[in-house]
Order: sequence, then structure tokens, then C-alpha cells
Amino acid sequence: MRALGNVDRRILYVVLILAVLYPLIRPLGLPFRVSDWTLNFYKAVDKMQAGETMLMSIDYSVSGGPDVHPQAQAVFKHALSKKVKVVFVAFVTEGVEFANQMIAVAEKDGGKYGEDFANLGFVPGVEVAISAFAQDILKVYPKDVRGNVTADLPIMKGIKTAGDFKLITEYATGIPGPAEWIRQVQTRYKVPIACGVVTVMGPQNEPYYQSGQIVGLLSGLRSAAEYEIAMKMPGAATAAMDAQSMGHVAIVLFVVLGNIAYLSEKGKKGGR
Amino acid sequence: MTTNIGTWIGAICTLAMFSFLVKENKVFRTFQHLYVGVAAGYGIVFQWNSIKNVAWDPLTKKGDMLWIVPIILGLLLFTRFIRGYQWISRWPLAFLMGLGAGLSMKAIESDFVRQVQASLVSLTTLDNIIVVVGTVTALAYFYFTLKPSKTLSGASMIGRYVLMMTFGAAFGNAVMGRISLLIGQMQFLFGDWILLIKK
Amino acid sequence: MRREVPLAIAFVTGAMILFEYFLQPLWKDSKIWAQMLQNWGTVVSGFAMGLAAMNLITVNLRRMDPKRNVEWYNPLILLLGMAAMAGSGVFLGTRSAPWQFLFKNIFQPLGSAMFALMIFFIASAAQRAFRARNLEAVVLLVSGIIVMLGRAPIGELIGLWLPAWADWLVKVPSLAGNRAVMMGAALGMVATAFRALVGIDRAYLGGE
Repeated sequence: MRALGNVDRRILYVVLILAVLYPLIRPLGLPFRVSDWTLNFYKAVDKMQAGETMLMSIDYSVSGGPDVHPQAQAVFKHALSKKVKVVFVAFVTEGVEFANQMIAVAEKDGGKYGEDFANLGFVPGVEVAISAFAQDILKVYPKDVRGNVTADLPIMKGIKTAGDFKLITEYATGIPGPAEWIRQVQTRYKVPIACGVVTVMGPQNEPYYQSGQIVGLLSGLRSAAEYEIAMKMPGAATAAMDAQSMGHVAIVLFVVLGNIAYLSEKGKKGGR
Repeated sequence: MTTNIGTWIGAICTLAMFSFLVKENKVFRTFQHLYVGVAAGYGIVFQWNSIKNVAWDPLTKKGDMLWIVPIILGLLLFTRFIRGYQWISRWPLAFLMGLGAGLSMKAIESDFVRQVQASLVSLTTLDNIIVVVGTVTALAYFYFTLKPSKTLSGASMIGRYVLMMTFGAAFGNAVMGRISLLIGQMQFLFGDWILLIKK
Repeated sequence: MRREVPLAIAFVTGAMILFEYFLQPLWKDSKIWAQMLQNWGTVVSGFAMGLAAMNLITVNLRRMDPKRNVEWYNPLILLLGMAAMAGSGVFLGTRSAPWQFLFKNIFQPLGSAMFALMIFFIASAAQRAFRARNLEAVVLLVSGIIVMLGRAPIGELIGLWLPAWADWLVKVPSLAGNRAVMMGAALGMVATAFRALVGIDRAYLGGE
């Protein structure tokens, strides 16, 4: 029993890898439903009309990329399908390249840079940058990542402050996150904000969702999969859900085994 | 297996990082240093572009002289490296501190007033009662400046259990998030590199 | 003077930001000044990032001494990586093939793999250290297990009650706890900001 509580960690690692890998190679097809967090985010984007402009702030780093990037990809795809224009910004350096990756795919599908979407790039300063951006976009982003003058981009016509966007969506792995956007943008401009975050930040942002300060919340890869289901376009995130399930089962098994060993040891010592 | 050289390099980088799971080794340390260097270089590029577009070009090409102030303030940060002149770097630091402090005060509206408003729900359902009681008792748990009375201790005890449920949910979500990262690595190694996972 | 001037800079800057947000109708031009200060802040923050890079360079140049450091090649690799990434971005542009190659095939895989390692440590800790030692630990563990299983598709296979319980945990008790933490943190943030603005808290000025 004691051995159960002290299994060689390398065995645990192999079990975990196999638990995650098997369903990726041979999918199990476990169904799942769409939560109201995701549904409300989806509805906020779906409500937009063709020609309206949405902001996507790509504030996640490579550390949380696999958790959050699928969310941004799904929302961008949804926006483009509705002919909604998308402006990308980033307050984390890696966000620029993630946005460029999504734009590259959209351009291959016939989208026009500068008209259908644009990437304004990165500004340092985190919360200071968000506040400065919200009040005067053209001062903070005089040029976009391709060197074009921002004011000359057709997509930026009529967009001077954060309040000019119909919807702001933000994707984060930490700081800046929903808190900074709500403090600096939502309190001043009252523009609807929907947020996508890494899974661990989901419950932390439930108070903002429940109070109505954000209109939708995507939390990790599961929400990305739910968004794909809502769009009726299952993709890579949906395919990963079986692996997610098996990974969780493995961790729960480890916790249970460890506690069985602990409680039986405790019982033996108590018996003596 | 793929023939794409870039994917092979990515796979080697990933496996080098994962070698830490066997034990800490020279290969892991080397690739760790490579990551730090590349990450720093990546940041330098965008910060350079930003300073150039926002301040340098308007100063030199449009003659907007006010931009000299933040450029000088920013350069003063580097006096930290000059012995005897480190005190000058306090000025730009104080500037950033003042900005940050001023902006963060808005938390009183977004994170306090609005949350209090959202807590004022009708106590007609069990869930609403739990939310309100839970919020108050969890706040009571963090109250260390009052002499503990029976009421405060009792509320604090209930608050502890509310916080345990909060941290339990956070732990569950943390595990979910990390599994997602592992899934991403597995999809890359066995999908893009070894081509075992069908897309 | 060495402490008074920075304290005054911090106070004036912060006060201008607060004045513009809360009392702007009293002085309409405060908006222009506050915006200007924030735009300047983005530029100074950019230089701050450069400061970090400069620090990294000086520390690693010192560590490259084979007499003092057996693994002297590691700092060299760090600096070469930095030079390659920064050089390709600044001189060739971020749309160039070398930059894209470095980002996609070195930076991204290394970063993702490094953080993916954490699940293995969580797995090991889950098996060795997460023990139901008392009632509070039991509550924490049970909540964690319900959320883990309930939020994955396997939860719906076990029974519809499991995802319902997981949702309830996140939307009711966890909401209460997170709200309390948020409100407490907001009060703490405001108090700390106030202390910094009026000069009570001078830690950011350093010694001397």
C-alpha cells in the first residue's frame, strides 16, 4: 500500500502521456454541450452586422498559446463568415505573430488586408498602453505591422477610440487580462467586452461575467471546442476533447491512489 | 515522418525540453538558455518598432518636439548602469509608478463598487443566499485588523470552506489548462512531426 | 533632491490621471495632458524593456568566462539566439523568412514545451502530496475532482449530474470566493497606489 503512495514519477509521466495520446490517435467521440459562457460570447459576435468592426486583442504568450489560440482562431473565423471587420492589436509581444498567423490563413482564403482585417501591432506598457490606446488609437498606433499609416487603412475609417468598436474581444494568459480592459476601457466607454482566457483564469473572471461587465467568457481549450460546435464547424479543439477527458481521468486516478495509500497507512498507525 | 526541416528543429527543441522529465541535464540547460535569448531578442524587435513609430519618427520627420521628453526619460533609465549616477534612473521609474498608480485606482469602480452592486441580489433562491453569505464570510476571513469575536471567528470559519471550494475549482481548472498544453505538444510531435495523428 | 524630485514626479503624474478621470468637467484640457502622459508612458515602458535586455547581455557576457563557468557555452548560445532574433527582426523585418522561421520553429516550440512540463509536476504532486488530511483538504480535493471530471466530456458520460455540480461549484461558491478575493485585492491595490502617490511607500526609489 505504501508503494501506491510513492509510485516512481516516470511511471506517472508515461501513464499521463499514453492517456492523452491514445484518444488523439483513436478518437472516442465523447459528446459535450456548450456552456452559457461560450454561448453568450458566440451570440455577441453573431449579433454583429456585416461591415461593423470588432477588435481582437491578442494578449497571450507562447506559454498559453495551445489553450487560448484555438479560441481566437474560432472567433476570427466566425467574424469573417459574417463579413465583420476585425482589427488586431497586442499588448504582449507574442500576440503580434499569433495575429499574423491568423491573417495569413484568412488572406489565403481571399480576405483583403486593410479592408477586412488589419494588425496594428504591439505597444509596450500593459495597462498604460491599453488606457492610451483606448483614448487615441492613432497616436498609439501611427503605423501597423506592415508599415502602413494606420489612419489611411480603409478598416480604420471612423475608428478613433475604443468606444468606436462595436465589440471588443480580448484573449489573455495573464496580465493584461479582462481586469485591465474592464478598468481602462469598459468603465470609460461602456463598449461590450468579451474575453477568452486560459482555463485557470476562467473562475477568477466569473465575477465580471456575473456582474455583466463582460458579455461572454471563453475558458481554455474546452471553450474553443464549444465555440466550434456552436459554429457547427468542429475542428482541432473539438478533436482534442477526448484527450482532455482521459488526461483528467489520469490525474484523478493519481489523486485517488495517493489518498488510498495515505488513508490505509493512517489506518494502520491508528490501529496500532 | 515529415521532411520539413523547420518541424524537425521544432521537434528537437520540444524533446530537449521534455528531457528534463528524465532528469536535469546539459541539453535541457542549453535549450533553456536558447529560449531565454530568443525570447529577449523577440521582445527587443517590437519594443524598438514601437519607440520608432510612436516617438522617433514624429520627432525627426514631423518635428513634434514634445516627444523628446519621453525619449530622454527612457534613456535616463540606463543611468542604472553608470556608477554614481544611478539616482537619475528614479525619475523615469517614478513617472511610470505615478502612471500605474493613477490608472490602477480605477479598480475601486470596476473591482469593488460594481462587484458590491452585483452582490446585491434578492435572497429568494438558495444560490443567491450562498453567493451573498459566501462573499461576506470569505471577506471576513481576510479581516485581520479587528480583534476576533465569536461572530467574526464563526464567519471566518465559513469563509475558509468557501475559499477551499474556490481553490478546489481553481485547481481543477489549472489541471485542465496544463493538460491542454500537453495536448498541444502531443498534436505537434505525433501529428506534425511523426504524422501519426490524422488531421 | 534625489528623493523629492521623483516623489513629486510620481505625485503630479498620478494626480493628473486621477483628475482627468474623476473631475474632467472642472478642467477640460486635463484630458489632453492625461492622454499625453499616457502616450509618453508607452515610450518609457519600451525603454524599460530595453533595460531588461541590456541587463541580460551584461550578466551573460560576464558568465561566458571558461575559467569561472564550466558551461560557458550556454551564455554564448543565449546571446547568439538574442542576436539572431533581434537582428532578423530589426534589419530584415518581421515578415522576413528568417524571422518567421525562428519564431515558428524555435521560439514557439521551446516556449510551449517549457510550460507544458508543468502538467507532469502537477501529476507527480497530485499523487504524492494532495492528501485529504483534514475536512478543509477534503473539501478542496472533492471540489477539484468534481470540476476536473465535470468540465471534460467524460463527465457527461458518467452522469449529467456531474457537469451540473461542476457548473454550480464555479457559479456559486467559487464565484463568492473569487468575488471576495477581487474586492479585497481592489482595496489593497487602491491603498498601495495611494501610498505610492503621496510618498508614504518609497520602495520603488531603492536605497541611497
